[in-house]
This record gives sequence, C-alpha cells and structure tokens, in this order.
Amino acid sequence: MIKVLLARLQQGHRTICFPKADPGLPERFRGRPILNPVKCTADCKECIDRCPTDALKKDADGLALDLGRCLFCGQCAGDCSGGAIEFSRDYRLAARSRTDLIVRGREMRLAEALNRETKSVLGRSLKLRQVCAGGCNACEADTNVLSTVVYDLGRFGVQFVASPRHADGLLITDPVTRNMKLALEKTYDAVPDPKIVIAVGACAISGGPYIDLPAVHNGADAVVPVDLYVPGCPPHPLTILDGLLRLLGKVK
Amino acid sequence: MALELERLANHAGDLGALAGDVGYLPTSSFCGRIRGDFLNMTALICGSRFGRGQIVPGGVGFDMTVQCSDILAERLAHSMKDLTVAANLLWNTPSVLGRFENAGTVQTQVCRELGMVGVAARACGVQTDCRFNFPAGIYRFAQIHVSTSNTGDVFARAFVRWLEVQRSIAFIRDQLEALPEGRIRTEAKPLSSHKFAVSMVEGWRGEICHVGLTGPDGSLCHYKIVDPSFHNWTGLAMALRGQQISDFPLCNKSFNLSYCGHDL
Repeated sequence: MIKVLLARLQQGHRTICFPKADPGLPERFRGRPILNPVKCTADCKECIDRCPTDALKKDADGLALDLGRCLFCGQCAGDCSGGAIEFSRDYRLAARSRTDLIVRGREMRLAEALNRETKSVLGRSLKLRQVCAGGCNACEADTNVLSTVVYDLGRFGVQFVASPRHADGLLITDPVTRNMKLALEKTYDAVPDPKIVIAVGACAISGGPYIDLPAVHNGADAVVPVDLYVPGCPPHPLTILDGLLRLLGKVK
Repeated sequence: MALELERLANHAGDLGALAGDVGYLPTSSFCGRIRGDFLNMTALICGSRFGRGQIVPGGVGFDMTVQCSDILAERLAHSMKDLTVAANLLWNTPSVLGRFENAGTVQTQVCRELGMVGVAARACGVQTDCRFNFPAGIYRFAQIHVSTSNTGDVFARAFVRWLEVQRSIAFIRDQLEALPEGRIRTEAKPLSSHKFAVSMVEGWRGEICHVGLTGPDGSLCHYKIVDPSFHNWTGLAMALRGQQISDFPLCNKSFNLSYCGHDL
C-alpha cells in the first residue's frame, strides 16, 4: 500500500485547468487556418489542385477553406508562395452548422450553446454514446483520452456510456460505411428524446479522405441530424472538449 | 523515432488498460496519462499527436531542430521515470500477478502453427520482429534486441511490452545523439510501370505488410495492407480455450487487436 501512495505522490497532479490555463500546444500544432485574401493571386490554383480532399475552393468571393473536409496536413500553407494560407495554433474549431465551417478569412463562427429547453435538460449532465462508424480509430483515441486524468471530462458533467438507452446523445466518428449505416440508425433511434448528435473528425463531417467512395455515406449528417461539428484529422482532445463545453454553454 | 514513439504510446496505454481490466486503478490512471505524453512528443515533432504529415513521399515533413531534440530528450526522461514507477507497481502487486499469470496461455507450438506475429508471438518465445528479421533504414545499423518471454500468458504479453518500452526509449535516446545532417526530403519521382513492391514494418502490434502493384502507366493498380491483427485473432481464440469467461476482457486486451483491421 505504501508503494501505491508513494507512486501517487511521484506522479503528481496532472489535470489541466481548462479553459483558463495555457493549453501548452506544441509550436508545430496546426489549428484553425487563417486565409488572407489580399495575398491570394487571382489566377493561381496551386493549393486547390494539391489539396487531397478538395477542401479549398475559389469562387466570386475569393478563396474558401472547408474545415469539414480539411485534414490539417498543412500542404496548402507550404505550397502557397504568396502566404495567403497559414495555420494558427488556435485549437477552437467546433461549429453548429456545416456552413460555419467554411473559412474565408481570419475569423470563424464558433459553436453556440443548445437552445434553452434542451440545455435545461442536458446542460448539467450529458451522457454520450460513441459510435465508431468505420474509420482509422484516431478520432476515437483522442475522444477516449478526454476520460483520462489530464482532461477529466467527468468534472464538466459529461460521460461516455455503454448503451444508447443510457445516453442523451451520440458522438459519431468516421465516414459511416455502408455496413455501419443500419447500426447507426438503430443506435440513434434507441437514444431517448431530447437527443443531440456530435460529429467528430473530417470523416464524420464530410467523408474526409473517403469522400464519394461507394463504400461510405460521406459522414454522419447523411444519416442522422447533426448538432455539433468538430473538425480535424483527428481533432485535438482540446478541440473536442471545447466543442462539447460550447454546446453546453460552459464556454462562450 | 516516429515508429518507436508510436510504440511507446501504445505500449504505455496497453499496460494501463491491462491494469484497468484487473481492477488495479493506480497504474490504469497513470498510464492513461503517460500514453498522452508520448503522443504529445510526436506532436512536438510534427504538430499532430498521430504523426499526420510526418512521413511524406521522399522523406519526412519536418526537421528535428536542436531545440526540438533537447525538449524531446528531457520529456523522454520524465516519462520513462513515470512509466517505470507505474509499471513496477504491476510487477510488485500479487493481486495483479495473480490475474496476469497463467491466464490466456498460448503454447509456442500453437503460436508457430498459426503464424502469429508481434508482441503476442514474442510473448510465446517466438523470435519474430521485422526490425530484426527484415531490417530496413536505420534498423540496419542500430539494432534493437528482440524482446521475448516464454510463458505465452497475459503476464508475458504485458512484460514483453515493458521490455520493449525500455528498448525503444534507449533507441530514441541514441538516435537523438546521432542525428544525421542534410536534407529531410527529396522530390519523389513518378512511380515506374509494372512494378511490385512489398514493405514490412514492425508496428506496435506486430508486422504490418503493404503490397503495391503498378500498371502500365505507373499508377497504382492494386494495393493491399495486412494488419498484424489478421494473423493474431485466431491466437486470441486459442488463448481463450478452457478459460473463464470473466478473463475474456483481460485476454482480449493483452492482444489488443484491431476490430477494423482483421479483414483488411
């Protein structure tokens, strides 16, 4: 027993003071991209051609980056000789609607809280069922770590549960393969109302690198209505945590 | 180094998960966090905890600066200390050993017949490790000793992970001392036509085999990946023969196979 106590002392207190403390993200972390339309040359399409998921588009209003498709590989920023695209270290990325994920400049509209009625039911205790709908497991792994001592999700009243019948909502990762469609629909139906759906990662938002393959449904909102989109490949745990707390109105 | 950091993160996570499955929460809690420390070391190098953008055609995406190397060495030393304390709690706690030992045993003969790979095979005393059997790149010059155990049970699979953790850390430390100079990336040439390429890498779970075939115009016409889980699922089935059903989660965790990867 004394060995356990000594070990506990040695390991120390490791829970981060979120959202107040400095997140301590590494220098090379690629967070929210910042577009500078002034620096973008009108006839240059280099970044659009090289983007692996067609996240970049150019229209009458200039260059637009869809965070729902972006893998945050940073290739566009590296290729752009004019410096029109750069990746900031801002981890806050979650949005309530698909259109809010289209970045055109410096700012983006981050997620707002649930409506008052739903928040009064789920705001203080939110139980989520995680559905892995056919992907690489990176999003699941970085969602899982929210339950470790570092992020300590339980202190915010959020918990993952083992059955949709015990849950208030779903947290869906991956592109929703053909084989997972029925399972996802059944899981959604099994969650009692009022319920929410959170799509985590580029795959769950748009299909990501698997977009338009016959084996996938291009993300969660092709099958169920989605209340919160958390972009990334995979999103950093802080990005997911920030999104969840914004949805519950605990971070503004 | 990226490969060894990935191994460290997963082995640390697995040791914690094994502790959790026998209800030993101190190590479970410590290792859950230490796993994240290793992932953050990968993010230190390339900005992504899962090494996205780290390996690119023709080389690597990011250079290892002196500053980066110093921070990495310091963090490795810290995490090694934390992980040593957390792991030693396992080996010194009779109630943990009572659950680990003689649970889910796979005989060496069975292991060989099934063609098991990775940690699960080495825990049965089978000397198989791509870093040793098919050394490529840096592994041709800096060899890592193959870590094995003989009992083939949950304890052996946990202990082999612990041995590998120590060797991976020593390897990364050595490499940090001897970082090569020069460019980090060369321009990848277009693929040649009608070629057949096989790659074998010792991932944290075991050997990962990629096979690519190019067509007449040099584009890929077929690509196949075999995950170590493909070889080891039957091993898990054999480990469970004659066992109590309550030991299933523990045995399952000791293999930690991919559910998505079994039929790749």
